[in-house]
Amino acid sequence: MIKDVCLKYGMQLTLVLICITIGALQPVFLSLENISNILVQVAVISIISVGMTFVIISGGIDLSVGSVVAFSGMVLGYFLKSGHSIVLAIMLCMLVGFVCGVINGVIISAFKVPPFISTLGMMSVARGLALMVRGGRSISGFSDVFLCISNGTFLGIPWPIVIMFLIYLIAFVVSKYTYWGHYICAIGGNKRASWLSGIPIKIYIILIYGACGLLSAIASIILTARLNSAQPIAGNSYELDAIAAAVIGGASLSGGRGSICGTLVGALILAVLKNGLSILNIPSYTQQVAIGSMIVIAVVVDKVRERKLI
Amino acid sequence: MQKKTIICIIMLLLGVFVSVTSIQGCSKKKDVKKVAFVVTTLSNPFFIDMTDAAKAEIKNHPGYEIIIQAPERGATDVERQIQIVENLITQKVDALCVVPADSRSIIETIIKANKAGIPFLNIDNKVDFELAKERKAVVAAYIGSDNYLGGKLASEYIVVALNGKGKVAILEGVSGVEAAIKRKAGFVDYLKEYPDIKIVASQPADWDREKGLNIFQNILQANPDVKALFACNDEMALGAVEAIKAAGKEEQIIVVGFDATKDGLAAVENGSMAATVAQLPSEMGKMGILKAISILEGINIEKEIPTEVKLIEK
Repeated sequence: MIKDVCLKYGMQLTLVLICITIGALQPVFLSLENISNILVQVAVISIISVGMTFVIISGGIDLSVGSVVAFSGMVLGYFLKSGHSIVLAIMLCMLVGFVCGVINGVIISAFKVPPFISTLGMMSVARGLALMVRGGRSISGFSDVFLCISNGTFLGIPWPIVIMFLIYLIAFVVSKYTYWGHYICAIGGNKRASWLSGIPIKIYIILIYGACGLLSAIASIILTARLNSAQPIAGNSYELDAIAAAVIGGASLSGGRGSICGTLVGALILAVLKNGLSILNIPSYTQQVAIGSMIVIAVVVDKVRERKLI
Repeated sequence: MQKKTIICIIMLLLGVFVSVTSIQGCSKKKDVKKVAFVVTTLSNPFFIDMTDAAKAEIKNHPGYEIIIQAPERGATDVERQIQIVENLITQKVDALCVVPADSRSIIETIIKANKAGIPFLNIDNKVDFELAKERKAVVAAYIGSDNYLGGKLASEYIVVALNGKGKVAILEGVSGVEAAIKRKAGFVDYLKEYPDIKIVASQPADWDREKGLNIFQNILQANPDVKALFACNDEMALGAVEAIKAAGKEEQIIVVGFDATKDGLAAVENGSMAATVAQLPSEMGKMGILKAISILEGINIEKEIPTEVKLIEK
């Protein structure tokens, strides 16, 4: 019985265990205020990770997400500052993210460029464009209405958390109960077999990367509101956190396997560790050692668990 | 068997975690006041000097304790620094000394510190005061050096060294950061009076030594006859020095850095750099702690506490 639970919910248990350990050492960690803190802090990375999970399940990788966050955020900031309506600015920001992703998808599917290279290119292009928007400067000072995205609450829950859970809900339904989700898995598992069985692979790949870009843009909206500033250097190396979250959550870098819920747990483990270690006043060098080893240990546990399941 | 393996691994996991945390986590006393000192990176000697001085100063004040933190990925990770400060606020430290990674994004966090009643002292990289005013964020004090003046000192030196004539290049800091803008502005503004001195290249190298090397190598390709370089910090200047050595142009190009770090001062001493503008990071660290303690003890302090800048040449 215990064994079954351990096997099935290994990563969730690890998260709970980490929380209990930190909470025992420093009770502040489990205060409502700090938990809300962690969830707000994880929102940006976890939303990017949703897109990354789809990409990884399909057998690809997207290194450009961090730069796309910066670029779409700068576009958002630019239009907010030049007096356009908030809705228009947000739509344009999301469009920019989506287009960046679609370009990745087209290059990957139509020209057979490996995703690593194609998105590496986009990583540099989007970062450059982000810096070009205002000549390397950031854009700050937005209206209170816009800042509500980070400050405001819905039924007492901060908006970033609400948005994050909504996105996870949608992504969960898509991955579990739609053709979309099954096709992505099939493409990642065996591309040729999926093609032979009539799945329009090219269109799916373009849409997957498009979705990843779109989700990065949504993350950038929250980030921009949280910082009250659009930063051309924002999102630096977020791709690594997103990949880590997906892999900790059980996604396989060789494609065909991964879960949305797992990714949320993965992102939470990362966030809880960062928050917990800084609350425990662990010096920042030690924090890096601890976080790095915890990530690897968590995945090792998962691999052992997986072998037992089979 | 399976259960055993899983339990073993979980115990291991827990063990590593507890041992890592208990090294530092156990030194908690209730009546001790905590001053948090947050910098942008702990892999740059400038901030190591600063935090070391802060650490040394707090030892003179029994009843106070210091917490030093910085984003793991360095100065460009603006969001992570904000998370760190938020965590410190949740943890209810008694005072915050912060070198903001970005002069504007930090403001929302200052508001949170204000709400929690924690005094916020701004060190080195100055908060955007106009935006702070607009958002009603209260900074208890600003402690830092005059970057604009520093840039001007560097240009004065270069004007004299070049006899008012020649091509110069600039390596900038992270784009958009106040200190980077001010240093460059101080340098460029003073040079406007000398039309014979031409700025042929001005590019950001993100305060980073390796980027300084690569970017200055590129600049040298395009402008082989450049006569002087102003690098907005010593790390970039030292990178550029390597590029100059590789090109065999030690005699042709003079390099002026900024910050007077240990490495920078050594380079001035051995002649590979001509000069560096000294900020005194250790002074900032010390003053940050002193002023934070003054506030906590209810003593009124100045809103702006300038720390010295001076040009150091051999």
